[in-house]
Amino acid sequence: MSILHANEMTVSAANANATETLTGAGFEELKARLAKEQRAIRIRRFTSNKGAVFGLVVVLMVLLLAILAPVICHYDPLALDTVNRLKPMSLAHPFGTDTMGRDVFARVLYGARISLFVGFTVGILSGVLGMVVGLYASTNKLADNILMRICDGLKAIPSTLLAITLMAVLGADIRNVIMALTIVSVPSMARLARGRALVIREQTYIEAMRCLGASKLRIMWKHMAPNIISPIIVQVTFVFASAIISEAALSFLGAGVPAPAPSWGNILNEGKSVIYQAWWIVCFPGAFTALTVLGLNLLGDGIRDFIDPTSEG
Amino acid sequence: MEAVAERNIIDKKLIFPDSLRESEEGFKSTSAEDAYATAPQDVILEVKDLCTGFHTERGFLKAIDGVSFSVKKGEMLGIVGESGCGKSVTSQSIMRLYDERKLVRYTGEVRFLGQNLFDLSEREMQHVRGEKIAMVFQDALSSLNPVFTVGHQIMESLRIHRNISREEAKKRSVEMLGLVGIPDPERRFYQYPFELSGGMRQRVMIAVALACHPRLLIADEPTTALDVTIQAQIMDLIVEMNRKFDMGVMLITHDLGVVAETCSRVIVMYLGQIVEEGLVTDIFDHPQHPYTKGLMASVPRLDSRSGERLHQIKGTVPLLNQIPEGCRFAPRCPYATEACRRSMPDFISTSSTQRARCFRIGEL
Amino acid sequence: MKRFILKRILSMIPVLFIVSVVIFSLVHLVPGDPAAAMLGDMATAEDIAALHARLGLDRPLVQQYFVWISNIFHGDFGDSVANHQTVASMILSHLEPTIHLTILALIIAVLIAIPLGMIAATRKGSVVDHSVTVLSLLGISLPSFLLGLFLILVFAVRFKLLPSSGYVPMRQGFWMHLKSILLPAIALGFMNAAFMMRMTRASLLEVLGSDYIRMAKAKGVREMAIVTVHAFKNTLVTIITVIGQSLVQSLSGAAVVESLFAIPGLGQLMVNSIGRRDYYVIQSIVLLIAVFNVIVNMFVDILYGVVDPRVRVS
Repeated sequence: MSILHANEMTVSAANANATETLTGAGFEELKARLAKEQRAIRIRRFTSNKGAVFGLVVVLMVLLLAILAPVICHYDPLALDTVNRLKPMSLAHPFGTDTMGRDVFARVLYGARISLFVGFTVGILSGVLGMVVGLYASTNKLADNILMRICDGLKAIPSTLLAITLMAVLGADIRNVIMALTIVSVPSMARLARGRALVIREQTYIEAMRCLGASKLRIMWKHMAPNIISPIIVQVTFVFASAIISEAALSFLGAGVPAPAPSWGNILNEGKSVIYQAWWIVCFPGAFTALTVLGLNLLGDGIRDFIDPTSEG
Repeated sequence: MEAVAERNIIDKKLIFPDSLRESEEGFKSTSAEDAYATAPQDVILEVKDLCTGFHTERGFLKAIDGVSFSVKKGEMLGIVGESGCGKSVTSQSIMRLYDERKLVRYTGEVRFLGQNLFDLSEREMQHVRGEKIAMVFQDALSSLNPVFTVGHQIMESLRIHRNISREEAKKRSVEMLGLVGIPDPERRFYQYPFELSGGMRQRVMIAVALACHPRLLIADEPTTALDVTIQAQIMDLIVEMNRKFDMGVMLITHDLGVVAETCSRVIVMYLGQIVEEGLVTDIFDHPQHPYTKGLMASVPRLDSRSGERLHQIKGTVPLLNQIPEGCRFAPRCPYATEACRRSMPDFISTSSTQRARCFRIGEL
Repeated sequence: MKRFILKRILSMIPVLFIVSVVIFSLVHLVPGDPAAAMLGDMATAEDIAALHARLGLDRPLVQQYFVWISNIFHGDFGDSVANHQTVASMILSHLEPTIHLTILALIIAVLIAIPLGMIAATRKGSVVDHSVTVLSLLGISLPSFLLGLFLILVFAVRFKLLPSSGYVPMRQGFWMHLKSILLPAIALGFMNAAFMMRMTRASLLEVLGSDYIRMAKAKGVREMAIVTVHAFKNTLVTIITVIGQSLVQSLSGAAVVESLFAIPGLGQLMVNSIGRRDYYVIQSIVLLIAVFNVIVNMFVDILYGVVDPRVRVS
């Protein structure tokens, strides 16, 4: 017994020694170097994934075009010019003009603003809401039953139809588009968060926190949330992408962003009726939509591999 | 598909760096035939200078480097070593189970009943697998297909290799189940693997392997996943089958106790090489290689004093891309000298039955 | 097995109940008075009151729900506000094109995607594998209406091979019929095909790396049989799931594709009803498809049990 004790003491003494020598400047330096190395490894891993880099570049470029739209293009996306209707591509109008003589290039650029705004907002909102619902459900049995049943019910309705129905009821409006698409995306997000949270909850360190008397809220947000955030971030990227698709689809059906506003879906909807005369009205916004979504999907895959290298697409 | 596999083997011979084949071409190619001709008739498997390498993200890694040994009819040969020493790779190379299109590159010879298996086409190889050489794996739950009945999986072997009717196959499968000690085989025949206990599943896997009465059974850690009492039963079964069918058995394990009880000869592997070979009595009574000594010393013994600490070999098996220069065991060897770190010791005989790969044989 | 099936069928009931409640409440989310919203700005107070009475909007919500549900059980989905037809008859008259379109889209997806996904997995790193990866990435980034527009540009506008809009019923000739729904079916099926390819490849890859495949090879099973018998039956669970999902996806995605190609199906009826504020039509179609979805999921669950004996027991 006494020998054991002595052993323990020497061990702890040695530990104390080690920490003492390491708490100095040397330790800080070591920590910094390690962190730097880790970062370098992660960046290398990300950049070695060609798809992810391509996705990031595409997304950043579209974002840049959207932000710089007034600088790049001097046309007003809403300005009518009935003399120059359905003009093909020229130096003045690189993407041609539409049925009312509006510059398609300007409309595509300003459309990027709307699409990215809707997609981003929906992604973030559903991420946050999904996490709140999922975390809450994982800690409260009654709430779990009610919330998850509602999620099941919502998930049983195909998302396209649910979005269309909500838009029909709420009325075509950009705020309603965001609301409808968020409602559509929250259930899966909540399921994901809940699933992760249920696993985390059983971990010993959460048990330990509970024994130490940490409050429920504190455990939930300070200790569980950081551990479920990575899959949520990945999912947010995919929701971002699918919200862009859905917004375009809704606007295309006339149930999304109201008409004169230059959303990609609206441009496509107007282009559809003159597709035999003016292919460019459909082609360019279509290509932009597809490219942006592709970029986001690749980026999402990249982030997932980055966070969790064991998963395979 | 077969054609591709065949071509690969031919390509291998053409492309392979000479350094790998030199020794063979130099003096063995002629003498190999002689050696075989003069080899005792009861040798069923002869592995000569086997090298197995994998194309990985980190480049080409050799998991097995120049392994040679033989198995006689009715003999039980034990292959021991820590995890990552290449025991399983050796056995799966003999069966050519790796994907030869991309992943793996073999050199050397695996002569089974005189025939070099690396010369066979994929189709010919299929007739060897399961019929002439059979294999039992570690984890029966994951090695039996979960969506087919036990009976189906035994019958499949028979139906592939024996030209028999369904009824006949069924009859023999039920017999086989009875033979490996499964009670009520008629009922078990229709059950799925998940409905059986761990020991039962292992018996089923043995039944699958032995269905066609193979000449050689490769058992890759057949008892590792089982309870101790079940382990003994399964080992008894393997020994019984070994006697009954007079087949050679290659028993891969890291359990030295099992080897001592069942095998007649032992091979000790370390990092893709054989470091010692001998009769069970040789290896257990007077091990020559420090690695073997280390393994022996790390087995708990009943007669040891209670306070005594178990011996351990310091460090772990290095990764394949970090193979040390010189003797591969040198970095972990308590007796290593400068010479050990510089060059690789030869595999030399220490008696008529025992060989070891160490510079300091006799000194220690 | 019988008990297993019964359990699956019974477990459907609570989900159906929740789905119906959700769909019922959707329409009652309308800000303000639904009757006023349906009738538009030109409606008089009497009109609104009359509609109130007809729809039973004055009664408490719970009672409204039960009236609605019991009517549906009697095959009465209510009347169209805009059209003076029963919703049931409107749905019936729009059913055929949607069914044909969905089936063709599914056939295209299944016939292309599953074999390609399997080849990609067995030939990992080959040209087929890389094309499958690229194709499936493109597929999930190309929504049906976008692909539809591109298909119209190429096959209708540029080469004039296929019509860009309109629907020819089956009774006017099979080939004309097929031609009229070919482009929409491709547009509808492509995303599902991409998803199927991805899932088939991933799950077959996982199975091919498993111990029992190695065991099968060690038994001397031919490579072809390993893939088509041993691995296939284990990937079947994934494939069944994906096919089930694709079926529902096609049916609901038809809304967008039908209005693009001017096909008089359920989807088009639904989209047109948005403009007419004909909530009962929308509600009924959504309910039908959601119920169909739940039933499909039940069948998928039961098929799991057929394929995988472990599912039956747990």
